[in-house]
Amino acid sequence: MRDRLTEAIKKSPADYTEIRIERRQSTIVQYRGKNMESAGSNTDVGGIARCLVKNGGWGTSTFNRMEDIDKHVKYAFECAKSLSRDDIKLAEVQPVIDETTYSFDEDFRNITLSQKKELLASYNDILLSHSDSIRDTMCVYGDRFVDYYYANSDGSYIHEERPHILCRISAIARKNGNVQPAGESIGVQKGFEAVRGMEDIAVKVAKRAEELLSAETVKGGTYTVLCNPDLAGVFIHEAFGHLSEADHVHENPKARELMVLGKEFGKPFLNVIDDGSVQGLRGSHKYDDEGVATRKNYLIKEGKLVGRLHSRETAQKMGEDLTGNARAITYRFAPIVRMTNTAIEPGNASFDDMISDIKLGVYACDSRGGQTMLENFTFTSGYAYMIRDGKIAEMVKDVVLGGNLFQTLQNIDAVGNDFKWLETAGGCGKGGQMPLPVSMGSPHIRIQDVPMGGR
Amino acid sequence: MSLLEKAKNQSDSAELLTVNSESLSVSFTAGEIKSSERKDTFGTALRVIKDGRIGFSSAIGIENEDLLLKNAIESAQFGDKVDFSFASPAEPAEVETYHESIRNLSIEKMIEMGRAVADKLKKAEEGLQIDVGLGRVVSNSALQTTNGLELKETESSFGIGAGIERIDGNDILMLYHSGQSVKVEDFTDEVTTKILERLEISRNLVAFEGGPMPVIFPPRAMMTLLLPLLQAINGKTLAQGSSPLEGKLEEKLFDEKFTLYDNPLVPLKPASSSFDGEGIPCRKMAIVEKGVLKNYVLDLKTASQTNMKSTGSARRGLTSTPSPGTSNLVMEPGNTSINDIISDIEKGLWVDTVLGLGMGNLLSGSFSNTLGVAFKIENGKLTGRVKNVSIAGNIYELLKNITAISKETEWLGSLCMPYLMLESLPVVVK
Repeated sequence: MRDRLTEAIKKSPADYTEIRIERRQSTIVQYRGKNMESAGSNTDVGGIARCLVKNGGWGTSTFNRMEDIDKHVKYAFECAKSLSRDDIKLAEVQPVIDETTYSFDEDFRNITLSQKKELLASYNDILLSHSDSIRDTMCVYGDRFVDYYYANSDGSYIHEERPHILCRISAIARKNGNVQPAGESIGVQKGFEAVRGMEDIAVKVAKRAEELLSAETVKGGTYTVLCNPDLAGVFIHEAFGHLSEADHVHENPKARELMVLGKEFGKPFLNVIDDGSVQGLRGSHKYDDEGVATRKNYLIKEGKLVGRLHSRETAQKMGEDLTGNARAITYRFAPIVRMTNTAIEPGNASFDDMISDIKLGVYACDSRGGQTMLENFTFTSGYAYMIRDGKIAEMVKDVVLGGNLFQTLQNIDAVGNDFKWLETAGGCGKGGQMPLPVSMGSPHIRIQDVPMGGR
Repeated sequence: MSLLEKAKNQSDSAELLTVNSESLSVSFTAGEIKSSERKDTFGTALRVIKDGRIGFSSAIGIENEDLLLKNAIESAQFGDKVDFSFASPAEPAEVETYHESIRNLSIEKMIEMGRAVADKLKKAEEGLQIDVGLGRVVSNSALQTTNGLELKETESSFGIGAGIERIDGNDILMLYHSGQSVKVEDFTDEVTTKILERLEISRNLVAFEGGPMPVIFPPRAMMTLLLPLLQAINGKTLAQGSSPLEGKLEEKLFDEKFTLYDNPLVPLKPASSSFDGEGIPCRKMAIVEKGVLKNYVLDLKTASQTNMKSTGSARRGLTSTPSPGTSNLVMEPGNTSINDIISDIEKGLWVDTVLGLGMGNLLSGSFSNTLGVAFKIENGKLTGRVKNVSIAGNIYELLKNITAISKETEWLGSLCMPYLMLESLPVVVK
């Protein structure tokens, strides 16, 4: 493959050329209630040629037949040449030659479809048999092995094996027209071992759905909110992370106004990072899709905005350092600036200290969807509890948190010491490329003055 | 031995789809040409029925027939039990789904068209964030079944879409419009006019009090009212036993003025086709006729699950199994012009775009949406844009009494819709 790609790049008349090839093998098993909706495997092989031409622009051409690589490099060049715009320049990066194979504990390619089905069915059964109130379930198992190749005209050549596995289990409880969902998921870059032993999680999910049936809707008001790591992680990704993507900032004058480096975003104990180099996490890769090594990037350090996420083009345009965040969901797309694994770093507060100060508040857990528009956001938490006199009290539902990002970040008055990476199956959407595998991490965090809808 | 023959040896029946497509697109961001992309796709999808169970696998790019067959057979081990067979040969209706002009459309011409749109929009106002995208696709598909079906179809489509984003303090305005056809058409005027005329009204923010009032749904907002209906008549919903319209064919559920067709035979529309994704011939059919529910939307599987016949509504891509869906949705126009309809409205609401289409309990017929862009109607005129407005209602109640349907209709993608007026809808303003 290396020779093939190098040859094709040499023939290219463009000023910069890169080729990315992927061989993707995936298996999916889905249960809906008692029915298995589908179980099967698919293969998907293809590549993309990307060219940059001086006084031209970016041209790309994607293909499925390997014999056509040369033809598509030519198409990409023609596309690039047909555009005419100011020079697009790329930040310099040292060429890299790197070939890594993945070493599995339990290679999911050696597990039969039957075994995968059995495992998922066992989790599904736990949900269905929990109680009469569990009326519907949705369980998905998915694995994907990607044999990934990258080469460019700077002289880089990368071969990486990327295994992805996920398992999502959710249950819907129903009683007298009241419908409540609950779910958990695992999503990592590991082998089959990662999805074994989810029995306790399944029990938890079923219990939670049932408990939500008897939970009251939270009373509307402004509360001190303690967010669990899952909710805090999704919050920082959705509400803040997207504003850190340099391509979005660069093209949007309002976003640029909001995201000025050096601006104070939160208290000195607030630190936010994006790190694509953490082994095994869903958003990790050794190199991004432009051959730039991933690394830990600080976005907020000691409360101040110190960085953002870049591709080679945006780094050059904005005169900032490379970060290794150019990602494409498959070979069918050109890379754009994306998050990898985004997190709030741990602080010093213990959970007990954070909660004991709260006379009346809400302990909000997990996220069940949300929306952001520039600096305004809303999230629905998966489940929540009232906090009364420093203790977790009754479960409540329909907890919708929303507001202004900057206000909210400023109102984070405690960051816990119990950090964890959420190994959940998060998927991010941007520019028609979804769901891109990402993950989040956080400790518990406490936010003051959060307006909440409700009763 | 061909793949289909090999499949026949290992299963009871098989269906093979091969798709070869080529597309070219050009995009402008922030008013400037950004990129040009070519996409060639080649792939195969195989369905097999073995021992009464159905299996599926797809292979894109790779030409390993044996692996594809093995995966499909394995998938059938666990597949749903099914009671239908794959399509047999049949006579299709003729519809034009391909036009030569697509093949001759060069990148340069596309860039020229895109630039014309971007420049026109730029002139309208300083500081507008402008995005324009153009694309053309030609796709060749071949469908074969072990029941003797052998179909080939070539389809082309072309489209231009543009959007503007205008930020004024905390006010964010987004307007979008697109035009699509099977052949190359110059949509530059249509796209720019449709955006600019709404921008004109949008600049003027007006005060607005909520309450029950007449509401106009222009063509671009009609999906808000139709989505619950489309979900209820979908074969998947019926097969799951969740449809509120189960067992209601031939019942009068809506106003007499309401007639809605699913028409796959409209010439030069990208969603048109002679055959559906399973090789069943397509035909024009009424979903609702003069208020009476006439047809559900079914593919082979959901038809067999509900003891009915396929309506030729199977939609599919390469990587997933077919599922039922509509083609072109055409609503019968009324007799009054939209200007006459709104001339009688002292105070009302004109819905342009909704946020979160599809949120709410669709199966009950409800919609509940915050509005993205909406205008105030005052004494028969659109006087300005209103904010923080939301509407909610149930179509099974509301569409029993439709005050007026315009005689003007507009094509937007695969929808051909009129303007519709509801006498009274509760409008909430925060």
